[in-house]
Amino acid sequence: MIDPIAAYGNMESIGNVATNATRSTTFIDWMGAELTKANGAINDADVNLKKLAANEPVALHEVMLSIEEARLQFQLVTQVRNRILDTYQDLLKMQI
Amino acid sequence: MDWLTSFAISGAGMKVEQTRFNVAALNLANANAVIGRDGAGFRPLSVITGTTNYSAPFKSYMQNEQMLASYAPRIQGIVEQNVSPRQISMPGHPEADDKGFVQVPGVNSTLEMLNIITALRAYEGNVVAMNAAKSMAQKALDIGS
Repeated sequence: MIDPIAAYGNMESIGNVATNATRSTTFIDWMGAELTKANGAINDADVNLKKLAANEPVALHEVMLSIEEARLQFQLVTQVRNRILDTYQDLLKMQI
Repeated sequence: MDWLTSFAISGAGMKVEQTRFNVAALNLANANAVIGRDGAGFRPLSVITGTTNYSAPFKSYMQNEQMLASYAPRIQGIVEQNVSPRQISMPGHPEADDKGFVQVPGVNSTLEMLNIITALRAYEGNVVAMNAAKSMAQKALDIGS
């Protein structure tokens, strides 16, 4: 028996995929997320340092590791910001 | 980020080595602590280390880098060494038995010194590995500049 003509698959879901693809994470979302991460890492390092200063039992290497994590995370955000700013200035200087 | 895995692995290694050092130092510190006649007292300890993740087959983490950190070492337990106490002749001691002997923990000082040195060197190795991971991450940030 021949099936009646019907819509192929679920068109709604395909549409959702398309819109999701267009509004997938933008650069500003990524930058915000990374900044939040860097801020959290700096806060963690700060908490650990305060613990160390207050003579609480916290492993020295964990304090140093958290400081280095915070530093690297912040350096990543700074480097990306530098690259983007360079590109932006190139665009500004462009003759039209 | 990915280098956090390297940091976590080296940090776990440092924690294990610090514990091994602490236990060896504790054994040395208690080497001459007298065990009472009732048997209450210090026994030499040793550290049992293991991996965090035993269940997954070894080759599976070759395919999934996130699983590397789950193979980081950890302290499984600190157990008493199976050594009998040493007998020392100290007739005047309040804990001495009828024959004038007191018991002290059977700490092997040479072995504990060896443990301290190996723990120190392994800790240094973990620090070197962590610094190398940091240098690699910083070099990666230098790309293009």
